[in-house]
Amino acid sequence: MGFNYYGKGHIHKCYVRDGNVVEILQSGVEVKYPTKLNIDIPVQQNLFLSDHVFFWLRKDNLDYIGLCDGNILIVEGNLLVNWSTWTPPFYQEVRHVGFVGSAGNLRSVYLDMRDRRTLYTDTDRQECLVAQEIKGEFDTDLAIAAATIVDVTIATYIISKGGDLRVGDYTWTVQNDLRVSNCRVFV
Amino acid sequence: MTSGSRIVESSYDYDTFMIGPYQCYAEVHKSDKDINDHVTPHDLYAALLADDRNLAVFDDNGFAVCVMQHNAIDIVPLCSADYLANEDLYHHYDLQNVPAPIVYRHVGYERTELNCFTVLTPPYKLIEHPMSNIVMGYGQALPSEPVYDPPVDLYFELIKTNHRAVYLDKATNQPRFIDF
Repeated sequence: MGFNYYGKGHIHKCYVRDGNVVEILQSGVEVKYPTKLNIDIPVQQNLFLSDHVFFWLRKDNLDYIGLCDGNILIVEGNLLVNWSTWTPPFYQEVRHVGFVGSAGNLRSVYLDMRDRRTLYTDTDRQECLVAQEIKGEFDTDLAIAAATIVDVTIATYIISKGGDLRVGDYTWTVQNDLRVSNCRVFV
Repeated sequence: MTSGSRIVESSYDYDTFMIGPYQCYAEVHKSDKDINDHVTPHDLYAALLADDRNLAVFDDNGFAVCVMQHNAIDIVPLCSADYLANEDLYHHYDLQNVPAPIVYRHVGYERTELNCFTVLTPPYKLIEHPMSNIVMGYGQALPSEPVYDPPVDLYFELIKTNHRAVYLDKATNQPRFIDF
C-alpha cells in the first residue's frame, strides 16, 4: 500500500482525509489530490509497483486501489464492492470528440482540452497533433462522417455534428516516443 | 472473453482458429526486431472493456492485441511508434458469414470477482435471451418477469448477501436473488 509514481518505482506514504488523497513526499511536503471517497484512511506505506495503479490503501478489510485513469476500485478479497473516482497526478482534461477508422474499426478519439490540438486514441495508444486549434464545446453527439486510415501513422478524419454540418478536416501525424514513460498518451 | 457480460478466461487455438465458442482467423506474427514490449493482462482487460461490442481479446505471440467483435477482428501491435508504422502488422479482418448478433437484455447483476485489479471493471450484468427468460450461464427460467436495465444499487443489495445474482421483480419491485 502507499503511493506509487508511474513508472518510477518510488513508493510514498499517503492517506485519505477530508475528500483528498494526500501523498507525503520524502521531503515531508504533502500533495493533495481530490477524490470522491468520503472516508478517512490513515497513513500507509508498503512496497508495491505497478504501471497502472497510483495508490493502494486498506481499511476494514477493504482495498482502495487508485488507478492512473482516475478510477478507484474498492474490493474485498477479489469481490468488487464499490468504485469511485479521484484526480490523479498529471491529470489532463479531455473530451470525447469522435472516432477514427474505417467502418467496423472505429476507435474513440479524445481532445486534450489544454491545447485543443492534441488528440488521443485509447486502445492503440496513438497521440496526434492537429495543425490548428479545435474550437467549440464537444459532446459525444459528435460523430465521424467519414474516416480513413491512410496508413497507421497518418490519418485523415472529418468531424461532423448533426450529420450535415462539417466542422473541419484535419490531418494528424503520430508523434514519436509513444511508449516512453512521460508521454501524454491517454490510456 | 465475454460470456454475456461476464469475463471468462479462454485460450486461442491457432489450429482450429477458435476462442471459446467463436471462430476467427488470426495469423501468428513473428518479429524480426528485438522489441521489449509485451502484452500484459492489463492490456487484455483494458482492450476488452474499452467497448461493449468486444466479444474476445487475445494476445498474438506476445506483441499484438487481437480484439474480436461479432463481425470483425482487429490486430493491433503493441509496440513502439516506428514499429507500429509497419502496416504489415496492423490488420483488420471482416469476419464472413457471421450471424447477426443476438440482442440480449440486461435484467440484473452477478457477483463480480475481479481477476485484474488495474482496470475498472463494472459489475457483471445478468443477461436474458430475448426469446426466453433464461439468463445466460444458468439454464433455468427466471420465476418471474424482471425489470430491464435495473439500477446499479441492485448490485449493492446483492453483495450484502451470499447469493450469486440478483434481478428486480417487475410485479413486486423487490430484488430477487438467484443461485441456480
